[in-house]
Amino acid sequence: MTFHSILFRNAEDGPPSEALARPDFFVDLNLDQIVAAITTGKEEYNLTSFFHWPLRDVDAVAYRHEVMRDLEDVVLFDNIKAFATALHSMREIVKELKKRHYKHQKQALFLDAVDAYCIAIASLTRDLGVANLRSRGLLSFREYLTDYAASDRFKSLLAETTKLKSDLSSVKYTLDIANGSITVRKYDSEIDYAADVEDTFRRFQLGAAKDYRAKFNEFPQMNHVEAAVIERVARLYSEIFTNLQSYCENYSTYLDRTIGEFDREIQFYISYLDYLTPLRRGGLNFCYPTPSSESKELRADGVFDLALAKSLLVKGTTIVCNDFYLKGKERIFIVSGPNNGGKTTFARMFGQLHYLASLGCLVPGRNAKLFLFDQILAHFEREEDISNLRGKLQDDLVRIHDILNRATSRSIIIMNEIFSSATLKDAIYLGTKAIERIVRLDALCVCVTFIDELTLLSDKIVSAVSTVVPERPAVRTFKIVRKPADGLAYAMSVAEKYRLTRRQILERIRS
Amino acid sequence: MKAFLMYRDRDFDLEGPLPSNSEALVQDLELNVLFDAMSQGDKYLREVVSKAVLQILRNENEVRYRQDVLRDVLANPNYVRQIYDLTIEAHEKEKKAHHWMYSKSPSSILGQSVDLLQGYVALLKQLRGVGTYNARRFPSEGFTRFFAMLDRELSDDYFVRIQDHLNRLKFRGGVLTSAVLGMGFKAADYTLRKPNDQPGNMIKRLMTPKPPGYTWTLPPRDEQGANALGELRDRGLNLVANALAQSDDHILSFFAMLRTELAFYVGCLNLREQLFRKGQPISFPDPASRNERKLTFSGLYDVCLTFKASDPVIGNDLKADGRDFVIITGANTGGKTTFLRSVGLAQLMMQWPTCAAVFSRITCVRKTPR
Repeated sequence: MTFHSILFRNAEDGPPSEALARPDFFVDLNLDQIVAAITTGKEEYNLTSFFHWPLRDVDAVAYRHEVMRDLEDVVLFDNIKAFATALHSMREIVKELKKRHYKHQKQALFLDAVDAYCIAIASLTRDLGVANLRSRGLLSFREYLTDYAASDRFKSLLAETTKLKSDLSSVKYTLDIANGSITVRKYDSEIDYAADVEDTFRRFQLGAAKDYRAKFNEFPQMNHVEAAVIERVARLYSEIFTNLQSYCENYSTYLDRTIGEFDREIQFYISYLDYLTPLRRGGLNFCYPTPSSESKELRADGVFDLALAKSLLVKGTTIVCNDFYLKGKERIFIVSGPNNGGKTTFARMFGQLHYLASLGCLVPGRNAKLFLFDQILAHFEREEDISNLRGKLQDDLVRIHDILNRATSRSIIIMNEIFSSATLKDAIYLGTKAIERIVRLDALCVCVTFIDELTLLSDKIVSAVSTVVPERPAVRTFKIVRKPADGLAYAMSVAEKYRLTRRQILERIRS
Repeated sequence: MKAFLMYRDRDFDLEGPLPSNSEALVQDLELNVLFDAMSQGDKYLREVVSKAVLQILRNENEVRYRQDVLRDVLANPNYVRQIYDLTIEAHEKEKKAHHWMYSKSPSSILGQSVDLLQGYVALLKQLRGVGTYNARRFPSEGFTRFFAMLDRELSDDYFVRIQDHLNRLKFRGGVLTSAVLGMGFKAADYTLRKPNDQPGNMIKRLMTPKPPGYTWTLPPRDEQGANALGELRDRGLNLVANALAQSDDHILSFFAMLRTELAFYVGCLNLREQLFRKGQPISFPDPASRNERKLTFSGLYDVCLTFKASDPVIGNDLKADGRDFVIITGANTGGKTTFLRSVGLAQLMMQWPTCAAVFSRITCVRKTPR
């Protein structure tokens, strides 16, 4: 098997040929926050496109799961990170090189960059050689790397780099500075004069001495005098410097493209695992979901909103996990219940879980069986936009119409508070139309609404309700449970608390 | 290089601990009068003698070592003062040069250090000269060792070697520095080098080819180039400037130590002169060991009273060897307290209080109601 990419099994899976724009629903599902946090500090790898490119094939997801499982080995993870650090410093040297003007300086830095590269390749080959790999991706990359490291081109690159390094470290010259001129010669075993002076006066030494050494500004670039000196050093050691010159010409494209791509793509996993580390340390569970492109039966336990978890962890608040399932013909969650009870978070989480699963990532939760969708369509309430000259209701209608037109039976639709600006009667009518359409499509859907009537439209629909603590209706549990939506449930609990139900009132009147 | 004129085996420590009752001693024995006589208005002398007198010695051998040195001092006051003046001169040279030393370029630190060193070398030569010509006048163990040390450490060869450095350190022939290739081929490990000796023979010199070299010359009006060149030179000089400035410091601290130790003896010289002027005799006490009971003297007088009274002070005799206890009685203002004080002072000036009890009795007498 030839190695294609550590993120994609083959060219059909990806990578995308051009940078991808952020999907529409990213902001609605808070995925923008998640991806921003993951990729912060990794800008040089340009990872966001990978996060904008969901996979559509169960095996493509499995391919990533395998790699990520391998990388959960701490030793391997650290070794790959060390490789990344080495290539990063190589790129830093190259950046430095581009800023330099003098030929010899450029050549020196080029040699350093290649040296860093050679060391990185050698260490990674050694580290992967002893690693216990199981993933197809890393196994085939190891094969590629081993072949590369054993190739004549790399071996001669390594040999010449080592030779030049050692030759150059033997270069030692003297500067004879007198009367506005510098004469450069090879070092001729002249004795260290400062040591000689120190030795002469050692007999007076009593205790610690004050430091009179001056500090010089160390600039990476040379001034023209230094350049003139190095020019003359090159003449004195002409063989070494000629070798260096031809070395730079021969190996100008030393970097292997596949390895360069690997260095970039593996960061997708590294950055995601790094992002999870503090959350896991905070006691949160993550699991490899079971994706399916056939069955729309879902099951997820102990799942939570990743973006919310991150911000709650910072505040030190515990996060409430939820469970859900859809079985048989069930396709649609209609979520109702008291405000601020976690309805929207549930809807968002449902979308996040599916999206993260489609990226081949670990998902927040104990276990999850999820559907591999073709697209996620989200309708969240927006501020009115004066520029489209539409009223809020009209805007809702246009957007929902658009979603329903684009949706297929493999789509996931997330709707939050639809038709909230319509009268109840109109909202019921319009909501019913929209839900009926989704039922007919057989698409997966989460719909947050205050219209209880919608839950009764079809047996594909599951009613879920956000709950409160029974004795204290003002306290939310943030648990979403399957339960018939009887708009009164919440009102009743408030009434009970204050002994204002009909029965309680009658009892009190009697006494 | 150590002076070891105060102790056989250690430096005199100006910050060394004083006895816990030293304040009471100063008061009861009127020691300030003694210190004033010894220092003659010199603040530095006063600081040294006030501490040296109170830093009591460990055993009678230390007393004898110091007495021997003091005998040499008393026998050769001019030479001792001459050496002492050299140490003061060193101090003054440093004071003049010192404010130059901070935050300067290596070249200017080097220049200043060379000048200062040149001055120190002259003083060192004079110091050794005093020793070479007069060592036989100083038979004490302390001075014999001291002058022998000067002779050994400051030999003529050594001065030649220093002078060679002083000439080289002006770098009239240019600065030779070695370097290796650092990051981006920037020069690293700048190390000042001493040019290899050329063969002395003119013909040989012409026959030996100089290793090939390539020269770059600063174009006229290239100011940046001139600065860069100056910096290269400074990088070469950095360590040697540091080494030389530190060497100056070390030489100065040698002079400073010598100055401190001699200050005590100069104080003793001053005291003797003052007492001679008053016509009072002096003598060296014979220190007894710790477990002997010896207290015998004749004509022992109160030194401090000598400087306060206009009349000559009367001395007293006592033979109390083998006795533990002396009780003094008699008429008021008859000199009982003065007698006590004279014994205490003598004991302290010997710097070996074998009969420490004497001091406590002085305190007792004073506390008794009259």
